Amino acid sequence: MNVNTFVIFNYLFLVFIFTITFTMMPYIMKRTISFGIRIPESEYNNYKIKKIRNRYRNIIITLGAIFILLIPITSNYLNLINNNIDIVYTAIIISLLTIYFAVYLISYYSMKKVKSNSNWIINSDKVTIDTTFRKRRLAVSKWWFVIYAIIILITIFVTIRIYDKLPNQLPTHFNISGNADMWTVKSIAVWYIPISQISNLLIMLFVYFIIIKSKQEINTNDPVNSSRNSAKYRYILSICIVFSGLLLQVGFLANQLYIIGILTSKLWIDVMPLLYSSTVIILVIFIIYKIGQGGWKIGTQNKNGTNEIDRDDDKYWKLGIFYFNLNDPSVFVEKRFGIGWTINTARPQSWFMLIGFIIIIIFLGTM
Amino acid sequence: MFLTLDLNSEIPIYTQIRNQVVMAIAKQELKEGDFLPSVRQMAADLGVNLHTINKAYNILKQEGFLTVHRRKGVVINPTDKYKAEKEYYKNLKEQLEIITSEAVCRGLNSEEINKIIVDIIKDLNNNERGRENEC
Repeated sequence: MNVNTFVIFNYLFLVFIFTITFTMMPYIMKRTISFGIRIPESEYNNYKIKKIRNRYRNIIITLGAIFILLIPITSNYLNLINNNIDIVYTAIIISLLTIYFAVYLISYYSMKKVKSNSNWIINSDKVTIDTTFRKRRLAVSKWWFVIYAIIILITIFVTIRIYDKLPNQLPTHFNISGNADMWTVKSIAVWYIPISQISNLLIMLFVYFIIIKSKQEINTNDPVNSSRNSAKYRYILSICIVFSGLLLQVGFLANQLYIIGILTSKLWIDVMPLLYSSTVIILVIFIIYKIGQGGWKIGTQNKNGTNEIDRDDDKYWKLGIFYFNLNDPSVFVEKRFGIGWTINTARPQSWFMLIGFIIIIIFLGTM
Repeated sequence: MFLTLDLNSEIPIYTQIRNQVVMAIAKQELKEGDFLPSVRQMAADLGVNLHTINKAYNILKQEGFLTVHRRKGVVINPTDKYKAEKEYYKNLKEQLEIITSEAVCRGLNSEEINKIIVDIIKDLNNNERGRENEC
């Protein structure tokens, strides 16, 4: 097997995940929001809007196929510049995301045009909340994170116990055939994984906090169902987050045990990434088909939507994806194009958090 | 309870909140001891300024409908805390005088006006009964 197979596998995985999610995005979003623009629910199947959706889908699928075909074409050539293969593929992924975003933007502007040429009734700007929403079960118990802490403590404990017996240099990077291709002095090498584990725990706690705290999103035309579905949506997402995070923690532990020589079989090292990526794919597909953004696909849906727009908030969504509302004190709001939540860019707290997040990622990346 | 605001309405937001809380109490959607979200939470969920919610809660507090505890949060008061007193009757009469006068100007007679009020009270009670059936 080629040394680069692992990198190529990672690349394929990312292209696959991004292409699927981008292709499916218009079908994940609520029927009242099309490419970041609010529309009447009854207009969802309007032929002009359908045309924009189909065009978007066809372009993304074609681009995805091109990016997947890039691998056999480039892999032989890239073997020559072996050392830079990671950088090259990262660059390709970034350009893929940029191009997909451009396709979204084209659709956004087309939608905007359709809306301004339409005679849809926008007679009010209504917002509904459920005063008992926070009493609902919005997430799994926070005690699950104790298991994270236990796994981290085991990792650190085992590492300290065996530290003196370890050789001075430890393998810190493995290729696909399980052979070490990078060695680091042990006083640094043993802490890579515990630090990653702690960062993972902090990120998961942060996401958990967002799931509980983010702004309510209730449909004024169907408050009872949408409040219930929105709570279920948060609960299911919290399960996905806690579960996939735990899988990652166990993977980290196995990796550490392998590095310090307690685990001699590399079966775990091979199985964990596969298990993790297939779990993520299954969860993403499950959310796309059964949950939908904000949980609108849960339970029975009202097929005959109204022909009115009850919310007049397009002006707060720059390019349909960046929320900027000075009147709104909330920091986290539901995304308009995507799964999960985004920040209110009009709040300084949002920027502090964003910068903090970027610093953590750069720190982990350069470690 | 569900609280719906119209952000484009001419009625100020704090008045809309105040009115809906009073209507919810009349319909028994909100009962003694029920909690309302904190000022911060409600402002974030509705996407309106903190002062707006503060103002609405302060009015409701002055009128005796709720108590704002620093720790426990915002709680609906027992009914005797906002029972009608002399002052209220005077106020009510003044307000009804304006509304009734306009109705009379527009040609409604006392029977028609009475019927409207009876219907409103019937609706409030219906809602109450419907709620009990749900449970």
